[in-house]
Amino acid sequence: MAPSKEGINVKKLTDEELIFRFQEGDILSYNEIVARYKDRLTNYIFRYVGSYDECDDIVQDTFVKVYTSKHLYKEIAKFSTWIYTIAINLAKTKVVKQQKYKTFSISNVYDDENKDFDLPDEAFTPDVDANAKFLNAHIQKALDQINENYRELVILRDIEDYSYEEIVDMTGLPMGTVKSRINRGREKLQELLKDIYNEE
Amino acid sequence: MLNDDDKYKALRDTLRSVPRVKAKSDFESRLMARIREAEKQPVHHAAPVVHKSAVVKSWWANLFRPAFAPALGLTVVLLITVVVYFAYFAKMNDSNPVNQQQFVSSTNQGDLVIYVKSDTSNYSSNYPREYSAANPDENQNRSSDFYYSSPHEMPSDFNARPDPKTTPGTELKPDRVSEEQRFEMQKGYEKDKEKGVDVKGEVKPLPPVMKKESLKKESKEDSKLSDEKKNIYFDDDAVKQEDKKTNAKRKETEKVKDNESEANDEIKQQTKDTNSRISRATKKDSTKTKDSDTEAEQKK
Repeated sequence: MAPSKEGINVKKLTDEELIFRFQEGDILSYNEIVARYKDRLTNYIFRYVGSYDECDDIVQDTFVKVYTSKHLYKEIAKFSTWIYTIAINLAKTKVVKQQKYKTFSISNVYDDENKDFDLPDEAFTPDVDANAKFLNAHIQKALDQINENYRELVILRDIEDYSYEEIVDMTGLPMGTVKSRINRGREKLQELLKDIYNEE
Repeated sequence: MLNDDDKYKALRDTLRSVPRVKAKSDFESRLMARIREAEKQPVHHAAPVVHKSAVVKSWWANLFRPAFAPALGLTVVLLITVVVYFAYFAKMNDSNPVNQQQFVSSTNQGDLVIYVKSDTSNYSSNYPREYSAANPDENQNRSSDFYYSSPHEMPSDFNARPDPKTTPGTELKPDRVSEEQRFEMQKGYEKDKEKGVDVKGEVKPLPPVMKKESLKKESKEDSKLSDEKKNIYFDDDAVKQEDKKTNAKRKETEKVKDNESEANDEIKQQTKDTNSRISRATKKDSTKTKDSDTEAEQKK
């Protein structure tokens, strides 16, 4: 990214400064926001939805929403909280729509061993081997099996590595609820990933 | 909560070890294309829709909307019941006023003696002591005007004299005894007294007579009883004057009746005469016709 017209290097600016500059019409600030958050949001949404194509759509929709609704952001919360909230809300609506119009997949007929998984081959770094692919698929399958409420919080805490306070800000849930849900999700995941621990 | 994080440390490590998913290489170019599409689309500013229902209707129209139908029905029914209650039951309640308690009659050896209350302040003075329905002792203590003991306190010995405390005074409604009857009774009472018939009871000057109209008024205006009642009753002089007037009226009416009876007799006699004349005439006509018929037959 090139420096802006005023000669300010946008890479050194914080997220909040970028969004304020973008609110004033600086498109370079918006590009910087997209560069910072596209991978983080893709990873987060992919773990939540489980499908890479859907994840890509959701992240694109999130950035479009940020572009069109830039004036709605106010310095009450952190920008990361705001953009994550937009993304998770879009993902939730997408999941609800999918559940409403659930299509029958022929892959469900076969045993678990023959099941195919949506592996984002393009997105992975080239040095990922087959074993890592299998581990990744197994963990994703376990995440898909746990409750949505637990999954969202476990991803934020254990994969995205957000603090409890930030998660409370993002979700709007009480601290106690966040902690209990995270623990329950972890318990469930531990049960589902027993095989991995035994092998290790 | 850090303990919980430590507890699930292995799980957290495995989750972190999962390779991170990255966005596609053409992500930004596709995003820009979508943003341009979004900018091209005309922004639909929704015009403020004025709902017809939002227009303020008159309160009369709002009152008769279907939602209020049951409530309106209930209020109408309630109004009707209230009207009926005050129209009928209130009249029924008027039949229990204090006026009934003002007339007390007691029988003694076949003579009906009626005592009429003249003053509300002292009831006991109006009644003979033996048959007074009101107990003066209790009257002093109680705030209410009269005290009637309940009927179930009647004694088992029916030959004994009625106990004034237990027996309620035989009450007569004011309508039952007309003024004329009362005068007759008073006369009878005086005659018996002159003859020496033992009329038990306290001999007192006759109590003042109450007018019917005043009684009716009193029933309607119970609230004004306290001071005004005293003015309703007549004095003894007024009673005497009334007696004279009524006697004069009687005489007049008797005279009128006599005159009427005489006139009736005359009319009856006249009608009899005319009837007899008519009957004679008809008899004559019939004989004449009979004679003419016989003559005609003879001619034939």
